[in-house]
Amino acid sequence: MSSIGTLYVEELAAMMRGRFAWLGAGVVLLAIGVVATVGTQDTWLDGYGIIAYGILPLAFIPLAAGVIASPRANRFVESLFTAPVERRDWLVAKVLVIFSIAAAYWLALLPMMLVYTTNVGFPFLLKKFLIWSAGNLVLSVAVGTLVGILFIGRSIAAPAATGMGVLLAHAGLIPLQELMVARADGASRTGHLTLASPAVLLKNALGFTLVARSIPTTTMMTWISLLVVAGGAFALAGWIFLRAQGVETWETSRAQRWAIAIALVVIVVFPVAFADTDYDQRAPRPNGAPAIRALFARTGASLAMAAPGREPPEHCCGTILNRESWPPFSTDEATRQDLLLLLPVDATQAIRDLRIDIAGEGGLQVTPDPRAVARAGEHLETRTYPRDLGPAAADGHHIVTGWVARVPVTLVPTRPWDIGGDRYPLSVNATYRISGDDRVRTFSARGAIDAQVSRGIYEMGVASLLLPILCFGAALQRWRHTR
Amino acid sequence: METYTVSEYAVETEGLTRRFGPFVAVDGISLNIPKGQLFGFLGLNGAGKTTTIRMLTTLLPPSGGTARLWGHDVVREPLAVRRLVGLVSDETSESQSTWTAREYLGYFARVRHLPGAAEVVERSLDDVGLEQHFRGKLIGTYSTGMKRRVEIARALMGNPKVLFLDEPTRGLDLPAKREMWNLLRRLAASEQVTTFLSSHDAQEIRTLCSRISVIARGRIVYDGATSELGADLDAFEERLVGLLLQPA
Repeated sequence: MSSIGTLYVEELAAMMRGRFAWLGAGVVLLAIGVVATVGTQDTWLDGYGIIAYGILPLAFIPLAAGVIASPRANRFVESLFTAPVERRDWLVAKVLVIFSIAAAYWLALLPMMLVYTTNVGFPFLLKKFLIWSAGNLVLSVAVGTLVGILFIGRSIAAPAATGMGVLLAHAGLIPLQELMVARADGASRTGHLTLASPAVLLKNALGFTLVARSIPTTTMMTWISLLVVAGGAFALAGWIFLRAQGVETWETSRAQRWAIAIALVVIVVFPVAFADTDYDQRAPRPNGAPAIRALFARTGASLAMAAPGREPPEHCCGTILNRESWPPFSTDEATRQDLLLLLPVDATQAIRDLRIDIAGEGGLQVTPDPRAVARAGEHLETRTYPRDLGPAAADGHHIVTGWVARVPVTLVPTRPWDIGGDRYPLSVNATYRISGDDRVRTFSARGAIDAQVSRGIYEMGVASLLLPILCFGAALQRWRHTR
Repeated sequence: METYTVSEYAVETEGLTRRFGPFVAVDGISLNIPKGQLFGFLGLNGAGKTTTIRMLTTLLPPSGGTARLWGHDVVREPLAVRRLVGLVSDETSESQSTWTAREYLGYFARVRHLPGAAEVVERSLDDVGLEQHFRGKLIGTYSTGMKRRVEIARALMGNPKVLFLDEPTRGLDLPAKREMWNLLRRLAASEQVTTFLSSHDAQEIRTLCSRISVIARGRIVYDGATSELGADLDAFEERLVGLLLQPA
């Protein structure tokens, strides 16, 4: 085996001999798994996806910094570089080891991803996340390696803390950039500043957003900036390590010090100054979720949902009709509920000729009980609203005690676009007359129901436990063998 | 089979200098250490002993002068020099406290591409007398003396021609120290390696070494036979203090 190959194998094994290496890996994977499992109760891709694919790869900045700085901090290099080992070979092997750990992290996310794609397919955002996370890992290893090389000392506190600071900056600039772009300020000075984060650059280069609705029209300078950051960081780290440093000492000339300072400035400033900021192109839709624009903009609820024959929940009534009930409705399964129309008619007035039409959207099949719909006007209920929270009547006053039409419905949410947090809109249109007034009055309301893949939480839980259990097993085995 | 440049000396330095900014840590020292000798390098803390060893083992580039080991220049032929040396410093194995002795030595056996690495490891640990049942336990659980044995075993891997020992008995109690001295004597007798023993412990140097150099403020202030400094330890130490504290 070549020298680099031998060093790679030995350093990889050495990496996992750390006091908390397996235990730490298990804890990290377990934490990610918990987020993935909890994420099945909400929009998995937005919550878990951003954390696992976007933020956690940035943790390889302090990790790489620590891994590179540690052998000099703990003087292991004194043993190593008094053996016939080329410093270049060791650095290459060490970086390859960090890449291997990064690749292992990326692969460790696969079981959870497979559960997701098996249930809901492969949405656009997930495809982009897979590339984004891999790119973020490479960029983080590059930046972390440079940070680790820059610090020579008897403690890894300084490089690790610096790496953590860079991580926070890179992570914090992601929402800031989304905010700036959403406010059409992507090309402002602050907008440019956010491009100092390679994670933001890569997001722009790949042409997706998390929240904002615009992406840059051009990406060439963004890709060049990414090359400058990743290539520059690796090249500078290698050059410093081999040409400007001894085993444990800085050996720089004045010219070298200037060259290092200028190179560091270029790596940071180039993307800020030159990366693309023409946010003129509409961002692609992240997944197949139906557009529910204006659904949440409405104030005052006109709909409620309750279990068959039951009263609606006390904290009634939000736009998400089943928000108070747990678990949410299951996708591809029929759920029977009573849909309550909170009619803006005072209970002192009689209602006649009530006709109701209910329609689901985005794959939601709603089947109202035809007999109940036909005789809805005969089975009206009354409801007393607290503190002016009743629906507004035609003259503007809030109903205190009003009529409620109860319609048993069967809901079947189909074609889920996420494993959890699928919000299917439904619209209700009704017409009626009030006794003593022949005018036809209309009632129009929109709401949504929250649904999820019911078995998703169990499948995700199992998938997210596999690797942590292996890691804890390895930790236990090592503890038993070395105690 | 490795070949070595023919040279009369194991270690030769001429005007070897190391500066850290304006501070001159080692100031033009010249040494000629014959092969197979147990050589003592004595000085106060901060005198320049460790800096000299770090230059001779390629860990630190000299600011001036030359240094050769078995004829190989430490700057121009660092790999050739590293094949010849073993270094035991006072705390390196502490750094790998989460490794077992077998893992630690196995790492170096494989990195050095030594054939039969597992056997080499066991043999090396046999040589330094580390008991079997400790070899699979974490180095962090060892006593200071055991850690030092592991370091010596690591330094002896690949059969070095020059063994550098930087304060090898620092932190050891008297029995452990005497055990270490016996180990060093045994190694010097059996392995025929040149041993460069750096210490600030006058008794240790006088006990083990037939020839010494004394370094003070980065300069060699004495280079000669140990016996010439005094017939007994008291006289030796008195003369030594005079050398170490003499005005610059």
